[in-house]
Amino acid sequence: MVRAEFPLVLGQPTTQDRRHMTYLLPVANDRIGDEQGAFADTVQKWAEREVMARRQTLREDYDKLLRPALGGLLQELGLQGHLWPESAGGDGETPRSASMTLALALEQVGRADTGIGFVAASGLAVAATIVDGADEVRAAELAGSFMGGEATLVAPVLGCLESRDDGLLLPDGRSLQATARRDGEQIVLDGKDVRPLCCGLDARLYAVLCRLEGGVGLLLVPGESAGIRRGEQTLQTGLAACRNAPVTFSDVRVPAGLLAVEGDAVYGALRTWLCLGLSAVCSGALLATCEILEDWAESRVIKGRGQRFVDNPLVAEVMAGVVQRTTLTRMAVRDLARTLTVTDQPGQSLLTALTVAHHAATTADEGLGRTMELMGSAGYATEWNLERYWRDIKTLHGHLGSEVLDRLEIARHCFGHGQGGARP
Amino acid sequence: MTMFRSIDELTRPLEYVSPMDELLGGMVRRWAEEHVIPHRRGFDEDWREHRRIEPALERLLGQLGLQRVMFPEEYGGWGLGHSGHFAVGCARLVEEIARADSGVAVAVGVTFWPMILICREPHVNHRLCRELAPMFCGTTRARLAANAMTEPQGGADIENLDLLRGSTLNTTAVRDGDEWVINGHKLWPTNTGGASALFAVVCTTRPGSTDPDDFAVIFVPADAPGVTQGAPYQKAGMAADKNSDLWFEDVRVPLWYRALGPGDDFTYFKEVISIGNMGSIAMVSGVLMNVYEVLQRFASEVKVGGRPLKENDAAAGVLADLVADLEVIRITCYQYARMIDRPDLYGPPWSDEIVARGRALKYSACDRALKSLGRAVNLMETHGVDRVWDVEKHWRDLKIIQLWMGGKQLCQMETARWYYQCETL
Repeated sequence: MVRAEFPLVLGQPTTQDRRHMTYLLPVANDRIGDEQGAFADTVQKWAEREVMARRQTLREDYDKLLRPALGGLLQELGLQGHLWPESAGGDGETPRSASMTLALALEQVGRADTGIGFVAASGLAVAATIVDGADEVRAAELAGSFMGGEATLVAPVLGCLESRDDGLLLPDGRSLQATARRDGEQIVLDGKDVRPLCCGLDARLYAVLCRLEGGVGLLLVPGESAGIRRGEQTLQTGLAACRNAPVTFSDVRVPAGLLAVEGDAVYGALRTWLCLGLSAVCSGALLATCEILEDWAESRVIKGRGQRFVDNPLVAEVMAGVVQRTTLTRMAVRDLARTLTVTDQPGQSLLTALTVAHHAATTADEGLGRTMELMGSAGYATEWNLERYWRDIKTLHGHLGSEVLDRLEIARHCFGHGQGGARP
Repeated sequence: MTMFRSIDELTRPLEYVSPMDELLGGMVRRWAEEHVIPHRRGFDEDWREHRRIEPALERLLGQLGLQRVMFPEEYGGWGLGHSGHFAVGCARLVEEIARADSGVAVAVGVTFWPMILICREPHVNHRLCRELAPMFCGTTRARLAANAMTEPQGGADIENLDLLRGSTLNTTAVRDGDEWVINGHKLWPTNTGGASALFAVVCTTRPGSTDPDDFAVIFVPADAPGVTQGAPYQKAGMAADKNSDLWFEDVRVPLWYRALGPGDDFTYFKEVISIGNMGSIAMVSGVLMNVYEVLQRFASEVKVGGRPLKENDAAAGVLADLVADLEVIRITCYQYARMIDRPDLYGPPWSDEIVARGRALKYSACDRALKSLGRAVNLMETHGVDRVWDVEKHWRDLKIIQLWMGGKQLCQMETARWYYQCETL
């Protein structure tokens, strides 16, 4: 069933409509089903009620706002169970059929708080990779690691700058931070001061992409396992909802059944799902930027008494540029989500996903930067919340990876860079 | 151990640096390396109390005496105000401080800023210098000053002198016998929130007037009855720059506390704008200098594929762009400062031409620096947004430098007005 969530043609918005910038930035949502749209609506209402309405007083307080909100989103709202089989208590959505739902939901989470979106996207990327690569029985076996009695913060461990191979993150394991080996019915994991993508300090579950006897595996490691040492919290520019820390795995032993996925394809799949989620979060940050800008500009006058801010052509041009960036990013994110609904192997879309994700992060950075320029001191004061998105997006982009070095990966696939001209 | 290139190897027009360049610049660099750089990572959490920040300011301004620098020698100052190397000297000082922390640089720079009106040739106000000098020159305790411009009704309107000529000012000064009675509400002045000893208050003697005679700058001691400072604002960066609301309620000061008088306050306030832009460019230069230092170390220490990051050609391109921009910005900074120092060649620093050039160079420097620094932060991946390397701090601070004094759009308009002789902007 086709669901027109938002009008596809610009009309005259009502006062009520104007509260949601989504009305003013229509994108083709004709492939969104009723259930998918309803889920995104639910997330939107939750985000406005539980996060946006409370952040003015609670700011970036992890214990009072961000951690409870993560709990509400993942567990009470059920986002962490969305992709797991119904037989294991999940919603039974397959990642591919749910890719658009996830994009819409994460956009709304990102609109409320980029950091919460970042944590949610990371956990969902791991879940999507596992569910997409396993049959239902196997997925149901692993679901328990993600869906206990409390919200599960998942800390994915992939590559990092130092583990890149001449700038590239290679799918064959050479670019990973941790190593595993089999020992009877157990897998033994080692890695010193590895940098998880997020939640290194608080994770209930580490999802470690590791070198495994000449190959690659995605190993689930419960946070309470013996041999895990969490370092001091990393102080970073933004993403306050994501309390990260370096983690050392010393001879950590887990049952072999927690080796969730094996093979080179897992690397591409995990990064691809991650790119989709993070792109959607960036899209949400841009939506929030448009809303803040609209609110702020409404009452401003410049050049003396009388001229409305938005009536100044220079200001209007910059404002429109922010809207353009938002609209194009939303379109790109939806297109990536749709691509993933039809692809055989999500990892085969990695180049597209990387392109969209870097575009989304760069565009959000630009859109926020230009909005700050218009808002002047209000842009960098915490009072208006804009600077928080600006810091968060820069931090998110750092975790996504170096755009310059990721372009080498794209060049490798498209032009045979580093392969003597041969395309992999 | 690898020896990296010194920042002193970066380009600077040596033919016109100040004779006291090495003396003052070296003093500030030693102070920065001992009292700021090792502690600056804790400044973010100190935005409200300034417990970590104040000792650094005490050392530089009070004990080393930099707060005396603007005042004439006969009042206990160092006489920079009448030096032919005033601007290039200031550029070096501000650049060195910003290399360590641009929030500290703005706190120090803004202390000098309003003194330009009364300490600079050819418009020295000796009576006011004599009156105010003891506050800064007669003590070894740090004293800060503030330039109270911005008002709630229009952020950049006050600085938009060419167009609005002070007509939007709501802060009023009414003559009552031998005193001014000042009323009004200011937002955002640097060194407020309880930090300053003295305010230079931009106000009007006739609300709504565009007559330059009605534009006034009046000095007000912070402890004058009727002055109220709000709590500091929390910002994205620059914790050492404390900002707050500032209220004046029937505040009385002597008539001769007006900086220069009818017409002259307006004229020479444009010089304040020019020097503010020059100082901003110097801060951008200082920020990038320190980022360059950090990147040399980072890109050498971090190995990617067994080789230092800097040996990867794609990464080297990003690193090169940053230092190339730094070279251009630094040359720009000293060139513009020299133009301010040589009115015989370039015209007075309060001329529309010099103001416009400063606006153009400032926003161009900020745009360039933000772009190249933003790319460098991303190249460093998670390390770029990790506070351990301090690069992200400079990135946050740099954005604030871009946005103050009317922000980018006012810079663009003042640039277009002069260069294209626009008449209606």
